[in-house]
Amino acid sequence: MKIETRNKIIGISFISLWAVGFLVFWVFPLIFSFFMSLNHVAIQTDRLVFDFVGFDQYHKALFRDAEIPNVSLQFFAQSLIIIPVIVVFALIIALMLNQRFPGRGFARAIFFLPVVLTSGNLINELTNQQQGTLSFLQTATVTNLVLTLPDTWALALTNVLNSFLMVLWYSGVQMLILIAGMQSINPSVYEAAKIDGANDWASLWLITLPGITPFIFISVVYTVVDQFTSPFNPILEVILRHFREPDTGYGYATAIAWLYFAIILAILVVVTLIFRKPLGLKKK
Amino acid sequence: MFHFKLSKAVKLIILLLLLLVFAILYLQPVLYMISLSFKSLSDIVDPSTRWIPNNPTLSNIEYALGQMRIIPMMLDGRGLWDNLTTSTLFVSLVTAIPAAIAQLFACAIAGYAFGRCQFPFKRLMIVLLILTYVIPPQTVFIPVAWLNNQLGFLNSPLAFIVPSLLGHGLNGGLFVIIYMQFFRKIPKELEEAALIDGANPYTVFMKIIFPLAKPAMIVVFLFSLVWHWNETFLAGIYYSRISTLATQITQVNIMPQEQTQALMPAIMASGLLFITPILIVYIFTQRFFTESIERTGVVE
Repeated sequence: MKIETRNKIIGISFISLWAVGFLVFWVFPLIFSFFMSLNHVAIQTDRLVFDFVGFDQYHKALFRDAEIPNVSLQFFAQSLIIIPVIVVFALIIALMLNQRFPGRGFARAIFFLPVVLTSGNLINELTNQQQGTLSFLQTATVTNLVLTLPDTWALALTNVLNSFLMVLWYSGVQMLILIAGMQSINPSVYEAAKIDGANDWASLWLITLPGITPFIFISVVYTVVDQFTSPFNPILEVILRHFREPDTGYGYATAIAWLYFAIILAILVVVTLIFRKPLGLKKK
Repeated sequence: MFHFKLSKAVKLIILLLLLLVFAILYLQPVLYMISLSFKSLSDIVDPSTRWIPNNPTLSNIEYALGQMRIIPMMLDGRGLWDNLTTSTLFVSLVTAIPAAIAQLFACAIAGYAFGRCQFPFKRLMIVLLILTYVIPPQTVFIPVAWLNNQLGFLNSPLAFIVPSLLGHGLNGGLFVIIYMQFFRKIPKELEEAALIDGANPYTVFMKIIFPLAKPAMIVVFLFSLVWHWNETFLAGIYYSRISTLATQITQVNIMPQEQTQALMPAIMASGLLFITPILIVYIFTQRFFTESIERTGVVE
């Protein structure tokens, strides 16, 4: 037997377990869920009854259901604010935690603690307790400023401000990614820059930030995926409600879920396009 | 620009102060939760009691222990498993630990295949692997729940364990990517030397490659454990007759309020019961969390 064939057989045997799982837990559900989104699904005692309606449920979700555009616009506006806030905050803390100071291990342990605590229901309880608000953000000046914005944005911004600390709790993993990125930069580059007369501020902009661009990209992707499956996500609630409602049922719920997935993919494509240039430049 | 020079000591003090402020902001919700859990009714109405209760009480914790259904109801005429799964703590444990162990092994095998082996359509499969991480569970949860129903996995930890055994499950895609990146960096000579000596590739993987991946294993196991412990969406779908600690918290919220028991401290005490096991794990393993990503070299 040729060595390549042999290697391929070995490779196939290693991937087969994952491939079976992929067929059962991804390919089948994706096809089934797409099929359901094209049907009105009625639940009988022991089986599902399908009534083909084509793309009607997509049409309904996009144009006839007043709730969905409202909820999603609101949510996307909120995400557009939250995602940069999380990444920038993670970047600032990562820069600080990357300095040399006594007790650095302890400090890292504190800032990474929220990662083990971010459970949907717990966060909701804490948010309900107003345990995410920063009092100085609720002063009249800030409130008035917010109210000058168009409705969707004002509401989104108020939501973000009211749960600001909880938003920050979602930055733990990104912090780790960015710290790892900072440590991948060769220290001698900083020394060389110092000899050439660069101060810390210049080093930050000319060495650190360009050096960690790929890591910032990974952080943004992680944040997008994390946010869109978070407990703050009102679209998820809409999907779940239709899932449990016999009237609209599985069919409509999956149609919304597919639209939702399409939007997430679109956002990730936009993020990749934004980062394409800095990432591409780095490769040269 | 900044032409004045700060001395090193001043810079350090500013840095530490800033970190302290952020750390307090970060920890405030947790401290609030702990504080409120031990407050008695008189402490709650007393505005001068902010953090340290004057009359600390365990009644909230006791109430939460009952509401969170931590202690199993051992009834005669029911099997041991049915009795034990009336405990939310037991359900959380038998969900999180086996699923984490399963992902630790199964994702490593898949990660090795993606990182080191040759097979047809490999590039396409890597794209699909990344897609499994990006597809929201909301898109596929209905068919998966239906599938679990057909297989009889509903109300059983198998709903989480079986996908994990195949290298999928909760965030399985991410774990496979972590292993893939790790295995890519191991020098080829290691395998080649063993293979030339006539060892079979499966023994080489089990005896040589896999043990090298300890840093990746620790990361995968800990994250998988924590994420399964915290999971509420899928647990809410798969489990209806039983529940985990994470899903049970919402039940405390809607319980009828007893006259002697304020609701908020009860909810906070429930939250405290829920996070305590994971906090204990974190205290002993935080080093691995904070150093994890650097050690595995995931992000390169």
